[in-house]
Amino acid sequence: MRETTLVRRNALRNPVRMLLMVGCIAVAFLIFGVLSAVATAFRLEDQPGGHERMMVVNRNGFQQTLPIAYARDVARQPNVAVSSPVRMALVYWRQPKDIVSAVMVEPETYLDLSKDVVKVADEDRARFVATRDGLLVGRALAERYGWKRGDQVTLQSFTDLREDGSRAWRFTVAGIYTAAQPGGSELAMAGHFAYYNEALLTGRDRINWVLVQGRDLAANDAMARTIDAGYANSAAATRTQSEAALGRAFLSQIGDLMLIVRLIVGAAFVVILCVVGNTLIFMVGERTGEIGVLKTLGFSRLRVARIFAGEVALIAVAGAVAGMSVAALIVSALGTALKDVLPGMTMGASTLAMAAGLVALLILLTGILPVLQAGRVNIVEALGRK
Amino acid sequence: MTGSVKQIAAVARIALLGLPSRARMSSATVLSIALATLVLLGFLAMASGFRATVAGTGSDQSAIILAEGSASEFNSAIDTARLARLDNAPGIAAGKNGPLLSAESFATISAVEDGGGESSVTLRGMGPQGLAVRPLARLAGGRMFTPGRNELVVGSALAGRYRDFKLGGSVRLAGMMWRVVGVFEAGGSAMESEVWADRKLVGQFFGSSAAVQSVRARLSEASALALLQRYLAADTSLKLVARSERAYFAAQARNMGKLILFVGWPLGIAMAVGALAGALNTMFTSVSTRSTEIATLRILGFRGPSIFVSTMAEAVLLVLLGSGLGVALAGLFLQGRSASTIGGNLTQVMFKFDLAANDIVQAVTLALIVGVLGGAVPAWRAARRPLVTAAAE
Amino acid sequence: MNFMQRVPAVDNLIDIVDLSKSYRRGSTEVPIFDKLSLSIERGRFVALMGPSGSGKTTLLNLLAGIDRPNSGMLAVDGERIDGYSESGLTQWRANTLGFIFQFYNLMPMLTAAQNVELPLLLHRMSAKERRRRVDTALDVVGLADRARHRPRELSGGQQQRVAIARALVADPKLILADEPTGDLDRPSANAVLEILRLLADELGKTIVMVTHDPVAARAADLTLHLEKGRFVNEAVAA
Repeated sequence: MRETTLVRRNALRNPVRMLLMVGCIAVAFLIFGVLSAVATAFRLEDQPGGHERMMVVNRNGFQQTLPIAYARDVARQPNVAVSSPVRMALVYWRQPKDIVSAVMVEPETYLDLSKDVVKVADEDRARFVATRDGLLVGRALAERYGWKRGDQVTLQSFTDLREDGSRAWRFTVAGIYTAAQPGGSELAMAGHFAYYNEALLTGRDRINWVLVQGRDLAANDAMARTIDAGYANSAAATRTQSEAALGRAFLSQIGDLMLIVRLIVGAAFVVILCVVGNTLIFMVGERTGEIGVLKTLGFSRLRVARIFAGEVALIAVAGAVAGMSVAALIVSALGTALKDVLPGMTMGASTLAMAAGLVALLILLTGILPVLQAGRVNIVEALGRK
Repeated sequence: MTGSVKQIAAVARIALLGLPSRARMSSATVLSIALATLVLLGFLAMASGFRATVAGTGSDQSAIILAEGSASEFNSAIDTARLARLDNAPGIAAGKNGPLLSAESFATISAVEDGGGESSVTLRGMGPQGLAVRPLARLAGGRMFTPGRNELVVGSALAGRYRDFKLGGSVRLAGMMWRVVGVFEAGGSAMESEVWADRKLVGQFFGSSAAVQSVRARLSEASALALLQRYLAADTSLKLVARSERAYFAAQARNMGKLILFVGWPLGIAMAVGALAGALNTMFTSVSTRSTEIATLRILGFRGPSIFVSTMAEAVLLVLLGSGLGVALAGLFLQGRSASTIGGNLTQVMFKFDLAANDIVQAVTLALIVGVLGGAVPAWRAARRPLVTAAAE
Repeated sequence: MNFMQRVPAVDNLIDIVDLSKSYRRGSTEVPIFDKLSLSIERGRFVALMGPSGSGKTTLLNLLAGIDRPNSGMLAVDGERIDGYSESGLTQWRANTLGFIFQFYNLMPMLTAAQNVELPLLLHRMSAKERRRRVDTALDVVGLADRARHRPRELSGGQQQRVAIARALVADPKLILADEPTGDLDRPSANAVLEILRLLADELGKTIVMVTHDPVAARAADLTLHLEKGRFVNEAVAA
């Protein structure tokens, strides 16, 4: 037998109460785990390279466009290593409900800039670059629609009209890409900007953003200021930001997502603090006599406190592990179900680290009073020896 | 019968009188129920408020015409060359200067809020009849924009929240100064989160003049929608579809409201399960601290059912207190609170939290379920416990 | 009484000189002892009797180091404990003392063997050595076959014997017992007394036992009568 035996036996002596406490803690961690995974998926900053890659967008938002000429101007900035213009295209295949997210790009520079997000085999890359009406398609998307390399597909655009008045665009599937990171989206596609642009009636020679990789990361901010200053008084003023900052700014408009998450997680933790804290205090009260016996046997205040702290920790860790495990299951199920809407939903290391921190905090906050109380038990009073 | 009612009342009274002595455990339960109720109500009120705002944007006196296959303005485009063919469409009300039609396109603009932050709002370009095709909207101050001039009319929700959109002020957009010449109201609907300007200017400076996204039409009467729909369906080269504004916005509201509820209910239920664990714990503790009292009562001749009911009464009282507190907190801090989120156009929509009676009923019901579940097991145990064990403890 | 023959030289385990103790109850000071003195020789089995409020429980508390005197000297085996801090006393109890309670006070979630082993957690000792000692202690009290039982599976007398094994296992110099037979029927009480007698006779333990039971007192080498904080059989007290 060890002191831990005592801790374990103590925790298990009222299994119903133990389960209720563990359950209560598990629920709070479940809420935390799922919400953080969702919040992480929402923040693009976790995309590899998201902090280094810059985007030049219209000051009014990425839904608005910039003249293609901006891409050439930006490329001449001294700090720019690689830059690439991107146009969004809202298209569907066969039925309007099968909306596909597509970008029309300058293939070589775009792939150079995206190599830590997407993985493309060399021959696919070469074929995509060389095929004027070529499409580079995400693996999951290609599987969904049964597309193979060499297939001809006709996509319909929602908002872009062709000069001939139609909305139909013929493409050839030139290559398939996979996500460079597990959980990354494979549901998008890229085509050639030049091919798309030449047929446009509306919005010809307009792009949604310019992707930029700086030579010197430290000079990125200065570069952004120079670019934006140059267009400040033109019809399309720009805003140059890192991909991550842009994503955050956009999401902040949904409502302060992180704030809501924090409030809810906070509420859940207040609930367990109350419930578990009180139960533990009650438990110490119930075991006052036993604590008196242990102290009579020569168990020091510290040891008694340690045995109780061990029990609190056991309960908290059991609850956290249970909660995070169920959260992981739910996150993986949600991640599969919402792959199209919200790719990249995984339980990351940062979430786990935060969970560990929360466990520690929980142990401290719920444990401190009962542990102190247990340590302070007076033998004479505890055993009614007066 | 009256005898057992009296018994129950007597035992319940004893149980409830003992509540203060178990104050800490009991208040933990009350608080956890209150927080669970509050979280659920927050989402329900958000969904109700958002739905009311978006759904309130539509009238059945007006129709919205979109490109075939497009579910919303956001992904619709109509070639301007086809617009003239709508002038002779049936079912559209006539105004002084021809049929009440407004071809519209929108753009996103970034605007500075009172607090200094920036966010995206919808700039809607509309024809001269833009106000006339919207039965719900009316000018609350200033005047309508003059076609061809850089003038803006802003929704009252924006005017109240954005530094850039004060009546008489001006704002720089697309490299030019624009004057805010009017403010409109639209019954608190999502329309009030828009900025209006001349469609031709919006097309020229913010997008494309070659296409618009939708056409609004004032119907001669609500039933005239069918005429318009038949006319559009008959001309297959038009590829346009008309819907009543009310139906269009109701559908949009449903989708967004659903998303909020899709998040809110699981969270509310998870919180309730946590609170249930707390309630069970409290009731088990209550029963165990009262075990001598309960045994004494039973030896005195009180029957099991009265013990059961009195313990349940304690649990139900606790959750009612908790959910009452939750509702009160929600009423105090959430009701009427303005919030904004991203709407269908990926721009800001202002709305108010709206605690509907139905939301309160749902949240209190959830709490009561927690109370009944949390009370039943401990109450059952208390009532069934063999006397000898109970008295010995 | 034949202890004189077995203990050739006077060798005190307990020395109490001018010990005073009082409690505050509200605003009044309630004196328990005033300048009490007592010595108990090593290896003796002493019974302490007296009516309620006579101070016998307080005296046992002081001897056990779970309560502290207001003044006076209290030494066990030549070690003065009256000035010890709480943590000093805790340490001292772990090394010197075995305690037997009226209501056994076993840990309900531990087996008999684990209950006996409990004090050994406070000593640096191999698992093997611990098991040997637990086995021996359970053997002494005749419960080797009940090692894996939980307290609620044991009778009162058996529980008290487990408690004795627990008091014995760390090989303490002094064993204190607080009405160890108070909650037991006659046969169980006799078994417990027999074991205590054995501890004194065979293992040379010094035992101080508070009791109300004259039969129990008769098992001891001598009986001290305490009344209103004084010994009434002065002749026996040192």
